[in-house]
Amino acid sequence: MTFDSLTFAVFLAIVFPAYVLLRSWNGRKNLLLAASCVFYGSWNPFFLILLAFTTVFDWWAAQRINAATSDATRRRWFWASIIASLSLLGYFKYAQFFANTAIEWLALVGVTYKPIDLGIVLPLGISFYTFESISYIVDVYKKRITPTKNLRDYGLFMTFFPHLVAGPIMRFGDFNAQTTTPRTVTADAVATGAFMLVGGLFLKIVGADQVFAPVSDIVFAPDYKAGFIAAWAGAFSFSMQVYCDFAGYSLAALGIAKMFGFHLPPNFEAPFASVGIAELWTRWHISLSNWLRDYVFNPLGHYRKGRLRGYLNVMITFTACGFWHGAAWHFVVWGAMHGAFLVGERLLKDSIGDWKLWDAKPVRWLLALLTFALFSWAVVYFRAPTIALAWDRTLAMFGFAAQDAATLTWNGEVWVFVVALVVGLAVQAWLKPRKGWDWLPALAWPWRVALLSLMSLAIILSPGKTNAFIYFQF
Amino acid sequence: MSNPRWLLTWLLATAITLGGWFAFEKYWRTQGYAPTVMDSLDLWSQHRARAVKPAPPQRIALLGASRIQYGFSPAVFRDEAFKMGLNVDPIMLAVNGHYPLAALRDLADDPKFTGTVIIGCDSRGMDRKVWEMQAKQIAHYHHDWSPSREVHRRLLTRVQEHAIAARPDFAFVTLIKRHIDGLGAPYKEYVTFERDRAGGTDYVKSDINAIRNARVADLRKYYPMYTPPAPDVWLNEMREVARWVERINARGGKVVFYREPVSGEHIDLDEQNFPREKYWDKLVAIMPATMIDFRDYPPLNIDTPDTSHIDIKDIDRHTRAFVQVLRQLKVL
Repeated sequence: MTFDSLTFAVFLAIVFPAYVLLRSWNGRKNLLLAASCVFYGSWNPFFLILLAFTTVFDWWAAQRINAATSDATRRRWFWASIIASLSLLGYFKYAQFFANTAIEWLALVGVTYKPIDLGIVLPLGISFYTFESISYIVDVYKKRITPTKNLRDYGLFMTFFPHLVAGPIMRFGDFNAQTTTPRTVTADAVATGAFMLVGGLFLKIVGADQVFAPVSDIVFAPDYKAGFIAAWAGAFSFSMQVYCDFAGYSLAALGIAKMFGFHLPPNFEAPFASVGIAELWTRWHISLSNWLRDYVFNPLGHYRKGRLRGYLNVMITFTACGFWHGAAWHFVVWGAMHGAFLVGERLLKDSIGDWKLWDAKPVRWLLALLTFALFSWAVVYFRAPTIALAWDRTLAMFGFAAQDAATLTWNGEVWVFVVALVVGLAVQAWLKPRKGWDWLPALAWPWRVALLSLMSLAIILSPGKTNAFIYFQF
Repeated sequence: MSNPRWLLTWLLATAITLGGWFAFEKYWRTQGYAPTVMDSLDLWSQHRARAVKPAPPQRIALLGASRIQYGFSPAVFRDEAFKMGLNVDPIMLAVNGHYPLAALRDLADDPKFTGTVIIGCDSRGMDRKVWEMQAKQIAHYHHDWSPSREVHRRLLTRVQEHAIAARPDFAFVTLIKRHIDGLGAPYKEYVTFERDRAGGTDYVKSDINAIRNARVADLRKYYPMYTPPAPDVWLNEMREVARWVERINARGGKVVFYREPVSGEHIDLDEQNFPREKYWDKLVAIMPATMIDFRDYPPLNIDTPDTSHIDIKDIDRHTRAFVQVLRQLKVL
């Protein structure tokens, strides 16, 4: 069930009071584990078995790693777990892609095969929980954490429903500290958490689905011939859509967890107010970028093995990031573009050095807009279903649109998008210096009332197609 | 609450939200609008799932496009059959604007389906080119339908029955866009739609002459651009459909093809392009199904004000007459 569904409203209306009424901490954890299984199984009960297998196997492998008396045994269990996790991810997420790619490449050398449909359904959240499980095994192997002997607690770490299907990607060390100490449900936390839930739903239902999706849907339709302005409008629109969609989901997840007394790490911190792509990745999908830093970029050697090797490591990390997002070449290109932006930014900084002008406010605003534009250019490869279509939109964005390209009609759809874009960027600029949601309790109560009323009413008055959360496909 | 300002915040915000919602509902009701259930892939899947529940009652899948969807009442069908001592469960799986052959194949391929299929379709709707029109519904049912979606859809139906705010054409962002574009209030529908996925066209609420003229004009434009398959090609394609029907028959089910009432220039154009004697009548010979053409059964020859759909007031009469014909043909 998704947070924006009525099923979830019923689910929360049952689980939350039951959680509050239970006095025993073990009882509460049992309830959360059972509720999380219902939450996940309500999509496809079969995949609950897969999740249970991954959970139990990795929990057990971690015990074996910890108990092993020789390095060789430790290594064997470590690789057994990593290979098991990656094999499941590889099969469910990438098998069809590899089959298609093999057929396409063979066709290039004259060997033709009929396309095959493996009929594999992607288990929801597999990319997220696989990364969590890998981080646990790596951390145990590296002796950064002690594995838990409590399968229920480990199961709760893996399945805790607010973060199960689309993150934030948790680390066991952070979560376990919260399961070993009883959580208290406070009125303030419930009120703030529920406010965040409403905020997240507002971003998704109103921002992503009603305001931004219609424009990007038009511009990225395969038969639409985009001109210069239309192509940029589509790119900006999808940037905002994916932000509202995913940041909305993450915010709702944080809010729900907070209601239950848990803390999840923030996943988005005003990313479109960033100056430079490097800063953006410290504010966009933070839990993933931290994971990639800790489990890919750093093990590859970071910049420690020289500048060139560092650039290569950045490229590898972000290409992998693209591939993690989706089993398609356009996602790989999207990731590689971000890698190239980061390398380019570093080269530029190294060659220009600290120039006072960069700190001037207007210049920083311009650089923030340029960062947003770069992000939006790359996001074309994220949104377009094929590289060919993304390339076509790229040409239009750089003034090489087709002769018969459509000019954007300035109708209600576009005006609403433009106003929302300006407001959205301004809000991010306002949020940038503020940390997380600490500003909320300090906000004067009439403002809180106004904000909450507007968001709630906007949600109620925004029925539409129930669009799936974009990151559920990953 | 430990922080009274939070309590105040939530109480006031809830009051303002509910007040705003109430005012919204009140305003649009005074403008002559009403809540309505909206069709969706989930609603289709919810009913499709009913089709494979074990009998009794005997499941009767109603396939087709708008003429079935706006021409039959499942409730009246059930009552009329009940009067005959039959326990049936008619399930509306017709989809407005989408020919239904893919849904027939899907039921044929589903070993759990052992019921009867009534498929409303004309010869044009059996052309292979339009077989896959309902593929999206079928894919959704098989790949995306879940217990979670079922709960959501059942609750959403309840909300849609009571709140105008649940209609997508009344989304506030949509209303703002319409205002900017100078389009005014949303279009007043003359089509009704219920939770059983059946609906009706209430021509009293519409400009029937404009609708009729537009429909005929569309058809006049459509046929010159469309080349009907040659009768032998078409009939050959239908042999594959006959195999689907055989699969349903083999499980104890039955299939009925129903050519629903149309009139005026509509039927003239249909006949010019798909002459009955070259298409429909030839099908009778090869299809292991009951074939019903409305022209052969006077009670089914009901007026279609827009040339293609019967009026809402005639739905019950049409349904009862059809059940009687099924009984007469020993399908029920």
